[in-house]
Amino acid sequence: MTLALETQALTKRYGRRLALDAVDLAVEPGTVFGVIGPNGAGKTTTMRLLLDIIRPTSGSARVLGQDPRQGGVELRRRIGFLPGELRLEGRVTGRALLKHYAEISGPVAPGVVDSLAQRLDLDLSRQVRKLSKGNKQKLGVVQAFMHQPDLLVLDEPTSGLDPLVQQEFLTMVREAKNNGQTVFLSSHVLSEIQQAADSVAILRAGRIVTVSDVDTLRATALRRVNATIADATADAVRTAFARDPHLVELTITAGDSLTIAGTLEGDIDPFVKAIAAFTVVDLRVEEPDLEESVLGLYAKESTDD
Amino acid sequence: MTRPLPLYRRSLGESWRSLIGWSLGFLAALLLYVPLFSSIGGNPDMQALLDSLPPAMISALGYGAIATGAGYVSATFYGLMGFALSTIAAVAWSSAAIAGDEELGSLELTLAHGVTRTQVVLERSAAIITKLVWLNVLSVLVIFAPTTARVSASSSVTSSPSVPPSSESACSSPWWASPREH
Repeated sequence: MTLALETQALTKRYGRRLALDAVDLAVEPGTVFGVIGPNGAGKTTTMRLLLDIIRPTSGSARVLGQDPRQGGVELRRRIGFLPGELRLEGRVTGRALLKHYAEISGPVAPGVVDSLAQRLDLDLSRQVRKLSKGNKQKLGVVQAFMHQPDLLVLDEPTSGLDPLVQQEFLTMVREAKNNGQTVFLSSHVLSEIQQAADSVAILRAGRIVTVSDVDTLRATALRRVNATIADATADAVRTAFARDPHLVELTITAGDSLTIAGTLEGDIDPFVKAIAAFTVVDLRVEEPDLEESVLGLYAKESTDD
Repeated sequence: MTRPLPLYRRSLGESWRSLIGWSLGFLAALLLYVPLFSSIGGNPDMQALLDSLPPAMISALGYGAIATGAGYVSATFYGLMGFALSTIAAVAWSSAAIAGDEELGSLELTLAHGVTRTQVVLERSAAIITKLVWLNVLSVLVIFAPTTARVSASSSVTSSPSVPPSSESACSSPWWASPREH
């Protein structure tokens, strides 16, 4: 089966600045692929390259089995794109603007625009330039989804949307996936990637740090542990945990009993074995947060540099 | 859904307000100059003044044929205000069409749709040319409107076509049809 999206050593250089450094991506059709990374990591650059808005310095991309440049108009009609910096101006109404975009993209089934607008609680009769940022974003979401494209490329789609609409948007993404559509979305809000994506690529400074599925990322994630231990000295505890390579940032606070706090990277088992030797009054292991784990990866990368 | 020239239609549809503004500007400039023809271009005193000027200056001003109707509108409107207004409109519209759209960041979304870059440039250029043509057609209509009105009025009165041209009928034909000899 052809991949919905594939890049090989995709590189984009702006003068001396390397925006994208040999990025390899492969996205299976019918999946939701998330890209996360801090600002300036190259998420938007990647998306623009896929849509042939800009062209790579070297490397290649294949979108729905075609080169973006060769595919041209016919290929772009099969893609729904939501730019990260959506600028919509003009005195026309939202409905008129969507009609225009419908004319220059794939065919839009009757009623789709209205039902999407209703789901996102968007008033199509208002002038575009008078819409708030969030409502413009909704208009952008509608124009990306309305022709039910084979591939959705969404750059920070939920920015500016309020939480209820964000949930509705994530439902739309899941529906698109169930329809067999492929979704490629970027975000720096990690919870939405956690909720929506099957696989995640972490991009940093133009390079892919890691590609994994959300579950794996969670498994390798950081866990915060807090424990209270009775009848032990701080030194004994420190020696016991010193053998656990996964435990970092250990702090021990002495009191009536010892309170220890630390961060676990990866495997939890050695910690459990080590703590079993003591009288544990209280133990809390906090659910790994993708955000923290991703930030952990960033941190590791930057210390490597 | 497959109506032709979507970008051309959108460019025109979005700019009708500014086009009305420019049309009013053209009309204002025309109405400022053209009605004064008889007191400037057609005035013997003006001719005497022009005769006293060095020929090089007259040609630099473009006033060589100011005594004729065509020379007058050319010197006052098409060589001056009309030209300046057309140029300003053309530059403003053209820079807004692609560069302005890119600067705003809204061109990206258009290019991400099923259009080619060539198509964007051509359709938007065509929209600008249409608007410029409209402005100039409008000016021609305004210049000729009183003339044709008077021609039709005089032809209904004049029964015989062999009547020699009187001063009124010379005035009622287009200005360049009756150049003053000098």
